[in-house]
Amino acid sequence: MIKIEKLCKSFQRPGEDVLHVLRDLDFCVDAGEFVAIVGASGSGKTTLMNILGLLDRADSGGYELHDRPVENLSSEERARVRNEDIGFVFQQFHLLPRTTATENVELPMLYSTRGDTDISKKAREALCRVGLEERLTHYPSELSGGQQQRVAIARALVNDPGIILADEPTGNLDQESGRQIMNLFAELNRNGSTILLITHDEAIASAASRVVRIADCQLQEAITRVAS
Amino acid sequence: MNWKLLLNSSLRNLGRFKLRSFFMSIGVILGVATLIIGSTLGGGAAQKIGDQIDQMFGPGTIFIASYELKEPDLKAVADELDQVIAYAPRMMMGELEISSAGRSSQAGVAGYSANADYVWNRGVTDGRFFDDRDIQRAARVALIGSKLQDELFAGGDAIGEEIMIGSAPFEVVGILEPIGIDPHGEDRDMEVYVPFTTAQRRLANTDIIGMAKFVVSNADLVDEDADQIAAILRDRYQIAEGEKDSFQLYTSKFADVAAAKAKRMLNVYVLLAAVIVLLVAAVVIASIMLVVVRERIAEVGLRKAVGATSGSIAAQFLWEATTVSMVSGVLGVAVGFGAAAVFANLYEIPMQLKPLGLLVALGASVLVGIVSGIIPARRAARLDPIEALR
Repeated sequence: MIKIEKLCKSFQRPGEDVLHVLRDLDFCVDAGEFVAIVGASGSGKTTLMNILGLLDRADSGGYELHDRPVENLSSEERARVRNEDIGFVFQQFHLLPRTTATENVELPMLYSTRGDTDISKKAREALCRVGLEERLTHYPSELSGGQQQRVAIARALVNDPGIILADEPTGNLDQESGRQIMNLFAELNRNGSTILLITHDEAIASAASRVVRIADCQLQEAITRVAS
Repeated sequence: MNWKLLLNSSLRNLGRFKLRSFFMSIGVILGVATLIIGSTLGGGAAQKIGDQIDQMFGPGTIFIASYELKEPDLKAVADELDQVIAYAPRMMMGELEISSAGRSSQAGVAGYSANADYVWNRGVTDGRFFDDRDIQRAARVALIGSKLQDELFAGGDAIGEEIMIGSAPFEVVGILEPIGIDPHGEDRDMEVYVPFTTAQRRLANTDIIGMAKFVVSNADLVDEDADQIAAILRDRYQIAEGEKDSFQLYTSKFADVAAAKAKRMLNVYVLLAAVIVLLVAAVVIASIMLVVVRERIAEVGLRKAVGATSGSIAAQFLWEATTVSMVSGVLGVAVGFGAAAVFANLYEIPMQLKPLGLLVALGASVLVGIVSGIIPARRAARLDPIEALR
């Protein structure tokens, strides 16, 4: 699903030394996996997520998504890959305000080239999958944090992407809502979704079937558990 | 890309921010309305100016205004110049109180001669004009405008009735042809005409006339005739060489030039006003859209994350600006026609419906939208999604 080889990324801030964030990083994710990347803040996990999500480019190294190298794609092609092959879930939900749950979930389909005819129906189905069938026409301001994150997950699912990238999805939620969101990810994973979760929280990461640690610009495999 | 749905969602966005959309609209509405008013009334207004100047001058006429002008001056000019066909004084008395049977009104009073219906281009629709006997005897007879008749006699017939001009009683013998409002804004249907001799002896106690008009035989030679009249008057008033005229002469040729210029300026000013308003409207829309882009940075980032290309982001903001502007354009057309109808009614200007004017007005609103949307659209399209989502 994801295959990364010798990935390097550094930042040059004016008046400062070059900051190496990722160096010669190798990483693979197979289809159907639920992988958690844990690391302290500033360890480069969001940078890695941005590169994996084709929002940012690496300085060097290879990146294959679905057995297809993506590092040399044009920005239009990258937009299309983001649209069809990747679903994003962010810490701040990033729902459009004054826009209903259904319309928020429709958004990726507006940019799709597949020509879905009944996007509203697909959006409602996605909201049902995350347990929000009762909240289809609610606005984000009328939903709890956990419900808003479910809408965001439905939005990530709606174009049937190969992989869901979740960056601290429980970071803005209370413990109970966070636990429910992790259960939802586990359930989606059991139903076949590949999930890549980024977090600083070991307890949250333990929901994943594989945990990878990021430190010193590198990834280290942690305890590998068999998916139940 | 699902353009139809994308455009729909931009439209919904505008509905969500009504006050902001209103501020963006107002300039375009005013600019387009100005264009519509110009195109529907410009022609009629120019025609009206032309008609009124024709009424006042007519072909082959020379207009004299002077604070020293007396009747013998006019007679001297007419005797000396064979080409003078006719002349008639016009003695303006200003606004006086006119009353009849308890009703009263303010009206402009002027003294005229018996041939003024021909020379000054205004006869009566009812009753009779002045005759030579009225002038010789300085008779207390008056002609009144149709509106004044309505005001004083409540729609009844005024002929044969008595009116008071100030404290002097006059008999109404005729109703003046309606003219409407002149370019100075005076309602000429509120006027009162009396014999100029009566005005001199019984109302003003002076033999100064102030104003007169000559009709000459060859309309092409009015400027030359005017020079000759000037020479006669300078001689009579003993104006030394090099000194300025104490009188003004206007010829029908001058009036034609002035009318053409007025018509041209009218169109230029209306167009200029509309262009300035629309430019301001474009700046307003552009600056509000820039604020909107800044406010919606996270939205732009999110849209890019879920697959929007820079092009579709630009298209979205360009479309939003153009939609506001186009909708405002349609509203502006409605406002413009409404305002034009009111003006047309108020100033008695005929309305013309010009499809080209409508097309230009709507085209201008689309253009304003595109021009004002370009910079905000480019800025939104260039946003880095990582920065935008932070």
